[in-house]
Amino acid sequence: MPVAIRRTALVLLAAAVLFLSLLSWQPNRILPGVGQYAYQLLPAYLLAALAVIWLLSWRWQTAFIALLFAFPLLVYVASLQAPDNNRIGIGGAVWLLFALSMIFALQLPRAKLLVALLLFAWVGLLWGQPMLSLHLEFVQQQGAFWQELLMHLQLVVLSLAITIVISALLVLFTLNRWLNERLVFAILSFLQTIPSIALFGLLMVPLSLLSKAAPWLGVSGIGATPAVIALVAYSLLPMVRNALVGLRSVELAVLNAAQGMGMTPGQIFWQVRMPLAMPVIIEGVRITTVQAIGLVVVAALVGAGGMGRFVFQGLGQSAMELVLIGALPTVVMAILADVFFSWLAKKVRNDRAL
Amino acid sequence: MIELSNVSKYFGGACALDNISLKVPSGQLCVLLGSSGCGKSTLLRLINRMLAFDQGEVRVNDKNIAQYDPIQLRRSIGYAIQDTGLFPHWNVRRNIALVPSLLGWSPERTEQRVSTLLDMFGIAEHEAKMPHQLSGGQAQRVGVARALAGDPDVLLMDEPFAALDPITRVSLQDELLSIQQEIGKTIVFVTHDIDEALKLADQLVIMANGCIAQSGSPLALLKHPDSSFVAEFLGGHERGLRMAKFTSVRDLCSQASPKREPFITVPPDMSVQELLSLMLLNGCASAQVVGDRPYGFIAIEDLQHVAKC
Repeated sequence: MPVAIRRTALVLLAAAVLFLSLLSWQPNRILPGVGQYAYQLLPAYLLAALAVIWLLSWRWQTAFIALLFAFPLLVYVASLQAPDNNRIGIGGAVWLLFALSMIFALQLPRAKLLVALLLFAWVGLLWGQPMLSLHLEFVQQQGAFWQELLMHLQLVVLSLAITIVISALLVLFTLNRWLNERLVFAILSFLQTIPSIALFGLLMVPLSLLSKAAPWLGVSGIGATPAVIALVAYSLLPMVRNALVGLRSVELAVLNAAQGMGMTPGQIFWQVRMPLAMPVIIEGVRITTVQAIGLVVVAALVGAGGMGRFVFQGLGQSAMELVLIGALPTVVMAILADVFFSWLAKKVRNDRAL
Repeated sequence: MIELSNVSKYFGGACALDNISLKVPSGQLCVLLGSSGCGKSTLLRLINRMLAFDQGEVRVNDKNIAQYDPIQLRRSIGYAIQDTGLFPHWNVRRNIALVPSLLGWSPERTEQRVSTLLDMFGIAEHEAKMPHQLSGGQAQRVGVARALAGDPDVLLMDEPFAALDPITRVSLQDELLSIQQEIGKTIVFVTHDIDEALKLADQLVIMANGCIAQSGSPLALLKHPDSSFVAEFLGGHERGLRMAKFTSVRDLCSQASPKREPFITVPPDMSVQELLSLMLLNGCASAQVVGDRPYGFIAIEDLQHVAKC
């Protein structure tokens, strides 16, 4: 790790400890808490931490890792000083410590293992201190949480499936020149420019009319139907664009040879073009999925459910912890989807290169 | 055998091929030579129906190609191109096995055929590699092996060696000639490289502006060009040196003993061009030709008869 980064880390740490509240004591859910600073809660432990920082100049790497794991422990010890029956709010210093420890863990050797262990330690802190407001809020919402998480995933998977089917048709028609490519991209780009909330609103009217005219369709003006339609509308552009780019990037000589060897158009498509385009297509699925996971949050506005329900409830009640209950899992899902599809695209590419 | 009769091809209003008639007998290597845009590649692609033509008739093995299903026709004709067109996601062995698998051969027969070709082209050690791991020469060997995999009677080659460095190109030309001696396919070979054309061709077809300017054996064309275009195309004043390259000293030497002491000894199958070069290098005017027996002598004056023999 470069010295400049180590210095920046120490300055930020010092700033966090001195100027940001570590925790806050909240007598109840409504009242804002009283911020507690690290130097108030942890004078002795701070000294220990400083001693570790002093060690950095000697065997800094070992000392640094020890420090990273000391953070959640220090926060836990500090939280034990909370008055009885007070909720414990998480202050800015904790968030900063969390973010910093993740960033620095990524710079160290064996980063993946370190990050996993650190996450484990921080989640352990959350679990181990039942008076933490985030923990309390989660316990309260637990029943709804899993249900909404499932709903969130269902909306993403359903819209992804529909997007793939429609994109396949659009790509097929565009490649065969049954559809004008410029027109297709003009429409898809236009859809992207509509703000998501406006699109949900726009869909409500025609869909509710449709549900009145044909109740047997099972659609409704609010809920999952407009959400999925809007998600699909946003997902089409990256999906179609990547698929077309992938399919077009296959070398002309390869297609020429395939034809000259006597492959049928179907064989050329499935055995040559598709496998060669696959990494780029998977890249499109990755972009689409990550985007959809985020957009489903907004879909809660039209009653589709999902993690957005907690976000908007929390905003309405000025309960930041409730917002986090919705937001944190969304971020985690998006990161996991990103990691998974990046891995898949890389694997497909490597299989080809081996 | 490939036979084209009065074939014409138009792109839009422009005439790409104008009333071409050409016959390639079985087992012959026919080279289509011309500058770019002369229609040589177009002509090649008519034969396996990659392109349709507007007038005339093309017969492959005495059957009009219009009567073939185009897919079946292409599977029965080998096809090798400049950029190899190897499938980047298949290894060498699978690339070569393409046509046999399209033809529905049994796995054992395919395996055996592919192994034969890998040995024939000296690429057996690369069988598990992916195309991007091969050098240009190796990739083109795989490309030609793939073209031969279905054991076709007819092989079409579209500037297969054009992108290779000169040394690799020459060694692939030599390999093609020796393999052709063994397998005796009917080959149509497109190139814009005059020396390559002269070296490989049994029958050389010089094309210009969608027409055949002249066709015949390389030596015949060198010695008796029909037009100033052909004469210029084959090298202008340097045509004589090319002629010398395709004449061996055996054909020029005489039993008469030389007026001057011979300074160098050469084998009978050395080209006259090479002999001339040696004379220039050694500053001598005569040579003795010795192979399994003494053939005679050759003096620098004898070289003037190169166009007559």
